[in-house]
Amino acid sequence: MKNCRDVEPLLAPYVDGDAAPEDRAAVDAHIEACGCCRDDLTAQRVARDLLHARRERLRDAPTPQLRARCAAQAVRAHAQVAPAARRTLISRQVPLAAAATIVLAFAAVFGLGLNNKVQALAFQMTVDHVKCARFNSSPAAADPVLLAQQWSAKAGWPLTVPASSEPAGLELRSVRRCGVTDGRVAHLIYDWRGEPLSVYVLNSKAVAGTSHVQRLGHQSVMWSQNGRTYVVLTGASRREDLAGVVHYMRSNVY
Amino acid sequence: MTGGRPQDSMVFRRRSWAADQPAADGADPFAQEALSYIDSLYGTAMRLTRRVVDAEDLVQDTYVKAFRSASQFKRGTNLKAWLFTILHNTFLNMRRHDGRNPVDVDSDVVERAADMTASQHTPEQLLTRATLNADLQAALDQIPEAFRQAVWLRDVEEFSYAEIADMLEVPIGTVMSRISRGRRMLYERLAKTRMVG
Ligand SMILES: [Zn+2]
Ligand SMILES: [Zn+2]
Repeated sequence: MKNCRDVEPLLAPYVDGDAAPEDRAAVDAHIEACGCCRDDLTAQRVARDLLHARRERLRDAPTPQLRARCAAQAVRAHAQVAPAARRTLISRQVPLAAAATIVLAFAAVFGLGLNNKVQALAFQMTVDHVKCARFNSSPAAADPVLLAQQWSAKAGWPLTVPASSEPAGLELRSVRRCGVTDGRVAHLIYDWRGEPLSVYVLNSKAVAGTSHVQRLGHQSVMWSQNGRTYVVLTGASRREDLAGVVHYMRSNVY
Repeated sequence: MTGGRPQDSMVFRRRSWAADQPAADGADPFAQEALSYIDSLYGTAMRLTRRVVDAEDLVQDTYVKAFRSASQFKRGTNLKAWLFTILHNTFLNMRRHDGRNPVDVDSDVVERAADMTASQHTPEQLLTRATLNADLQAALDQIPEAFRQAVWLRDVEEFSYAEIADMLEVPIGTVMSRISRGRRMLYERLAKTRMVG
């Protein structure tokens, strides 16, 4: 018969129900005769069952900031692996501070998977749009000149705010510095024929060409112009009309 | 514009797993799956380091390494186990690096704990009375690292004995014995806590 020392390692798989038949028999024979190991077995079973029952609640949860930082590592690794290859990627000359802020803020929507920065921006903006534009647009039309002045004073860089336009179907509602983008991105909120439409303005040239992204039931069009980057974003309906809005924005920012 | 594209999840399944071959719609299934284990990794890192700052560093370093060496991951093998192996090695490195000793209870405390008889409580009483997760965590944190780690990987993260042996690079018999002893130590800590309270 095995002694106590031989039996000890067998107790864990025994408790788990994983022990090989011959090990199981050896443990059974031993505890029949040995009270110590019998008690040990009971103690181990209690500990194991307790951990098992609590396993979900025992884990400390990572903070959203840590999730964001880790998700950002995926973006960063990709930027290193496959840079310049894609024309629509943010150029490497983008001021890193701005890009990092956006990526970090974006990464809060961790788990969606991303591998290029245009997608990252689009995600980031979409999440902000859903949280922000729906609840923060004031009911009345806003004064673009006043909003632009307030923006420059607060943010330290000048912003052109395209006015409401009947032909484009746009009514300006507000301009926000969004928490989720760390206040670095101007968020212009319009009502577009009854639906919220966001225009984000980054104070840097972040993309080459024009990108269209469709994600999370929203679509966005992104381009850089005169050292700024613009993202027009709205819910997915009437996609064919969005070109008109983009055209209006392009010709009214400078 | 990309109308008529199949569902994202379908795209993922057909794509290469390699991180440098992103799916056309911008989603990276490798990173996505890797990031889905953050709760497990962080929970484990917290039990290993027992300090939030250290646990956060450990998890972030683990991801940095994982994403950099994504191409080395063999598709079809267990990604969670692979990440845990990186976590374990990073933890060892981290400790070696800053020369910090594990804050483990020294062995005589463990011995003394082992001397405590738990017989005043039936196991059932113990189970029902040890209601606080915080108590359980505290009891776990008091058992020596090697045992705590093995028990945690088995009972909380539900890795197999063979997976744990691979991860820690120790023989499977050692894993079994660490888990046996770790569970017993945990029981003893709990019994002691209850008697004190
Ligand atoms: Zn015995
Ligand atoms: Zn906003």
